Amino acid sequence: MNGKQKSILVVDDEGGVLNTLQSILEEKGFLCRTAISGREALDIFQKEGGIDCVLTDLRMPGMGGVEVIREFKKLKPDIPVIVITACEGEDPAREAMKEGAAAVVYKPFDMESLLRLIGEVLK
Amino acid sequence: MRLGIFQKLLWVMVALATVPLFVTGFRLIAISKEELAASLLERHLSTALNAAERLEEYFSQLNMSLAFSQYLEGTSTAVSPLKLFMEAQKTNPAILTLSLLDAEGNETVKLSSPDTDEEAAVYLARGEEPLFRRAASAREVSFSSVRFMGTTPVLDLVYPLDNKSKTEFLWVTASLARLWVRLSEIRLGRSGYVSLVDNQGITLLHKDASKIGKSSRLAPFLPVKSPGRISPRPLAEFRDEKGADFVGAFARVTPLDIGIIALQEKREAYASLRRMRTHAVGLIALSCIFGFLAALWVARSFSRPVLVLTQAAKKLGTGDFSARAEIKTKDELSVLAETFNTMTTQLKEFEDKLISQERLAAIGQMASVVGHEIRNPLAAISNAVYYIKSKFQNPEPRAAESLSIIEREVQASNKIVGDLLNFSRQREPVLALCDLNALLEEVLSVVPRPPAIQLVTQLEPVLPQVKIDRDEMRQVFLNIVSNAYQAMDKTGILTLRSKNSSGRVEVRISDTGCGIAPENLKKLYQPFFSTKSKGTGLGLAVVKRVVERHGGSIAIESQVGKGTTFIIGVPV
Repeated sequence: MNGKQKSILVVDDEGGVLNTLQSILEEKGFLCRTAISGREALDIFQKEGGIDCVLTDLRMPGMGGVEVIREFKKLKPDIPVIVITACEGEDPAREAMKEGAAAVVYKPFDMESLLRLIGEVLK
Repeated sequence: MRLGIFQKLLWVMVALATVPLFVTGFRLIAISKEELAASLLERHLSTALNAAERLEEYFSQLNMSLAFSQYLEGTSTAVSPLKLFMEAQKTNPAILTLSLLDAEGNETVKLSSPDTDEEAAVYLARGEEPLFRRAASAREVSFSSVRFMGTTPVLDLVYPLDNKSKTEFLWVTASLARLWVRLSEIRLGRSGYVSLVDNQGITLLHKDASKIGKSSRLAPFLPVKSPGRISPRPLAEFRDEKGADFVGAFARVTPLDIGIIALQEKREAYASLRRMRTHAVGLIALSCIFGFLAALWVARSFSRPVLVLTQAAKKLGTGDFSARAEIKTKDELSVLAETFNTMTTQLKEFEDKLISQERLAAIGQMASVVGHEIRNPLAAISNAVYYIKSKFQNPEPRAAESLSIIEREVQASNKIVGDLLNFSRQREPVLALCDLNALLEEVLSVVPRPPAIQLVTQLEPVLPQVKIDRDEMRQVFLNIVSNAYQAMDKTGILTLRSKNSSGRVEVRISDTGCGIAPENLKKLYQPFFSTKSKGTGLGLAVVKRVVERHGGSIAIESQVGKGTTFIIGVPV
């Protein structure tokens, strides 16, 4: 980790995924914020700021992943967003990419690859 | 009332078979009747004329017999009447009596044949008799009407004898009996005969003797009523007192003003016509029967297949796809039935396909929900394992093994979900040109190869590119290669060959594994069929579906204990 500690916001309605990711990311030296819904994520982003990267699920009750990306991009166009989804299929992923997602990762994912990806987008 | 095809055909064909015959038959009969009537008239007329000629001949003979009267002219009356009579009788035995009359009509000499009853001795005064007066005033030969002496028809003739000195007359009574016999012998067919009627309508000759001397019913034919010598056309018809119908024609005997009528029973005269009509009716009836039978046969051969088709269609309508129309008529109807049967088979296939597609869609929906719900916990589990592994750098061996078991099982579970999703994916293939050799190399690099398994590749260096959905075809080879590794149980040889063979690229993937039992070969592509302890049984179902969607072919050569070869053909 060079310089200032990077802050990552993880958005997922699955508590299991959220908590394990938080543990790993914090273990790897990131500042990790978690949100259980798109709405909460948006609140955190607006109130606290300083988020360097977002990992978001696609299928969530209320505000979905694609909408989250759209809103975040409005507030901060250059923020890197990585989509983490259990939904195989092209449509939601393609839509997310169209909204400016940096990458799509399918669950269950290889943690090493994800960490490499995060490292790349944070550069 | 609704008429079935059967009845319609039946009636039309019966009508076709009989109406023309009916029309022609009766038209022919009508023409024949006209012809027959004409020829009958000819026949009757000629018979009547023939009779008339005989009558006239009789008169001329009579005249010739009496020609001696000419010799009397210019001679004295001292001619012996006896000699005269003897002379006349010699030439014509029909002469019954011969009288010499003076100018006042009194008989002066009279001679009779022994055949006659007439009293020769009684000299009559005939001055007032119309016949004598007619002869006296006209001074020419005059005839009486035919009269009967008893039953003998006789005729009186008066000859004026012109002498220089005085006027005398010869009165002759002649028998017509022999002539009558000859005339009554004339026959026309079986029932035809000749009758004579005088100008007053009195019957002079009839085969029924009781009618002679009476007023004839044949009056309509009477010469008095018709001016000519012979009957006018058409043939006259009349009905006698017994109700029998007759047809006839007459000829007039001019000097006597007698009508000779030739007549015949109508029944007999027109017998040939009746026979013709009977035959025609019989023929029509016969053709009716044959027409009916033929129509019955044709109509049945038409309506039965239609019935069979209708029943099959009804059966099909109730959703029974086993409905078949068995028609062996070898005509358009059997072609129709074949078409129907083919259509039914296609419908069945279509329905099966629809059902399997619906089932597939349902599985897809379920797989997508289940996949999502399972992959989230799988992600959490694998994250947790990762965290534990990174937190505890050197765990004791059994803990480390447990962690890798969790990782492997997560991968296995994820694969099951992936298989299910692959199988039920309904998206249209996205086709792009692709090199199959490259795809095979990629697949080999992705699937981990057990160390003891040898790999042999015999790929044709330059293959034509094929138009495929790369992701789907990749899955095909992935599934087959994975199966091959599993079949070989640690050791063996995996051989990959590719070649260009007449319009398609053929890929053969062979293993030296356990092989597939023949009874399992058929079930191999059925979804959820698996011989492995672990496996969804979806791998080969996906393989087959994808290959077929690409218009390709798939074949298996397998021997238990020796190995299996998959042959995939993809059109170029």
